[in-house]
Amino acid sequence: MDDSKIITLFFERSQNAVNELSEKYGRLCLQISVNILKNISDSEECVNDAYLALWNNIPPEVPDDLKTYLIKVVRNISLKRYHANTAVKRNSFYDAALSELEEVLTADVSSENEVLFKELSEKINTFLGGLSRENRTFFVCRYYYGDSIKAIAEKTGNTPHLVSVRLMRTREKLKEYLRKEELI
Amino acid sequence: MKKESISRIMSGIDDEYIKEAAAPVKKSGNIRRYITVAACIAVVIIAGIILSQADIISPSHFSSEGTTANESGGGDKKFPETATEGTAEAPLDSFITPGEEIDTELAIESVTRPKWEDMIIPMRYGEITLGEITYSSQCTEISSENILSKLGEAKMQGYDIYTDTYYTVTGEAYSVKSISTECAVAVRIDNGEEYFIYVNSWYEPEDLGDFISDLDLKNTVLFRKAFIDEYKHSDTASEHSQRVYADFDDKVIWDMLEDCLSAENTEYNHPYDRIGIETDMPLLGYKNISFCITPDGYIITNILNTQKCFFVGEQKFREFDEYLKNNVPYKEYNTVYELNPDGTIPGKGEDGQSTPGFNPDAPVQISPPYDPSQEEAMSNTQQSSSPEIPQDFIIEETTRTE
Repeated sequence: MDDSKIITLFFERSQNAVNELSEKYGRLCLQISVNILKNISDSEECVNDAYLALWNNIPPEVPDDLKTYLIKVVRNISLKRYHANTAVKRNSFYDAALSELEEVLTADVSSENEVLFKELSEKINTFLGGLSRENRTFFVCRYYYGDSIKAIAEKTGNTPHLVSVRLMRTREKLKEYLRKEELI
Repeated sequence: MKKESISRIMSGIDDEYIKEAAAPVKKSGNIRRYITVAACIAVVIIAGIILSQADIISPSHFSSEGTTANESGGGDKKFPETATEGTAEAPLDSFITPGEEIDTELAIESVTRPKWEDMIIPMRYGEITLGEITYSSQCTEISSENILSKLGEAKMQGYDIYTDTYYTVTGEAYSVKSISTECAVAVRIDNGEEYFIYVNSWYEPEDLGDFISDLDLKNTVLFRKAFIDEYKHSDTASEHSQRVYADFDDKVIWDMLEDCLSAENTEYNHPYDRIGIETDMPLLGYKNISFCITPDGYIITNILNTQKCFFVGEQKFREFDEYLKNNVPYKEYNTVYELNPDGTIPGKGEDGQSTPGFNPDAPVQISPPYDPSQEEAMSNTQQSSSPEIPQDFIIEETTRTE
């Protein structure tokens, strides 16, 4: 079913809205959550919470892109669970991915410093805009979705070695870029 | 920075990129590689057909089957009767069946290959495969100072075409300082003391930035001279002029390249004019290889043996062209080919035979130093004086220094 029709179902307050959403994007959402939490039951809960969030938010909200909107909600809910549950987070794909970025994002930022968080996000977006599509996809899959190297390789038709090398190079470039921008 | 903060920053990634990565484009395979392999197979098949139709292959002495031996242990060496000093039958076994022979005279003319004992080690063992990458020998030694860490070991095979003998050795591969292992490795064979460069000819950088960083080009490449060629044709003559710029500033090239780091590696298959730059890469054993920029805005090079091409835009070509023409002293060489009355090129009539108008021993005429203010007059002089010059083949050299 088209995303626009699913949004219409939400507006009509039809129970089918969540069914259709789940059928179309359920697997993707579960994968994103499992990447972060490495725990199926927790991830299923997060995905269900995301459906509920969409049910509550649409209407009045009308997402331009339902898929991206849903992905962001699932990720945010999963991250909240991830940070709350220190026992589970260890060894998840996402944990490994974040460790890689720790060497790049070295600035000591207070959690209250919303302005700096926003600035860093904007700079990273600018940096991503200058990458080739493939390198950008590798980066976003790894550090946004928390995909494993192997999963990215399968998704994009490359070897894990190539993905790994490209990511390493992209991190180095990002570090250099942020240094020039005096953000680290 | 704490992981929580990092994930918060990552949450700010643009929707556009999130959407893009949710449905990545899967590579359909390395088309260029398959095309090249298919082309090679086609060439071999066609060559086989032509040779067999020409009755070049006749039965008799391609008789022995290969034997395997270790380099140290030697093997049963069977010298073909037809082998002569410094030459051998070409490795045409891909289209010659056992028991057949090839015409020795043709082979001697076509392929000259040193004898096994005359070859240096990296010439004997042409390839090493590590994981998914096969590296080819550059027959270039590299000092141990440029070696980093050991990557692994692999068996390497050499083939002596004179004796139809295979040899197997162990190669230890090492990473080379500042060069990505995707591009090249250093190999030490059978615990020898020397390290040799092997390159991955199939390396395909994603973009110009990758290419520069993977090969540390800024520190490994030497630009020598730039060449601009121009051709003029009329009914009575053809003229080729070449300007050679030796003292240009490398920084101009690097500034141009660094402006275009995200230029993607692409394909470029049509004929082109260009500014060619004579390029060396001593670390990997390259001398006088191609690096050029085309008027339609492509940078093309054959570093690592296969074409790498990056679109940098026509403006970059114009800027470099203007920089050379306006700022760099040059030498100009003009070659005039006067055509035969029938319009054919001297030396090659329509039947491909030499024609009376061609004098290969004609002396080369060197003109006086170039004076820019006399450019037009000089051009006129050249046109008017051409008929008085007895030779058909004229080379002029002019020099301009600013």
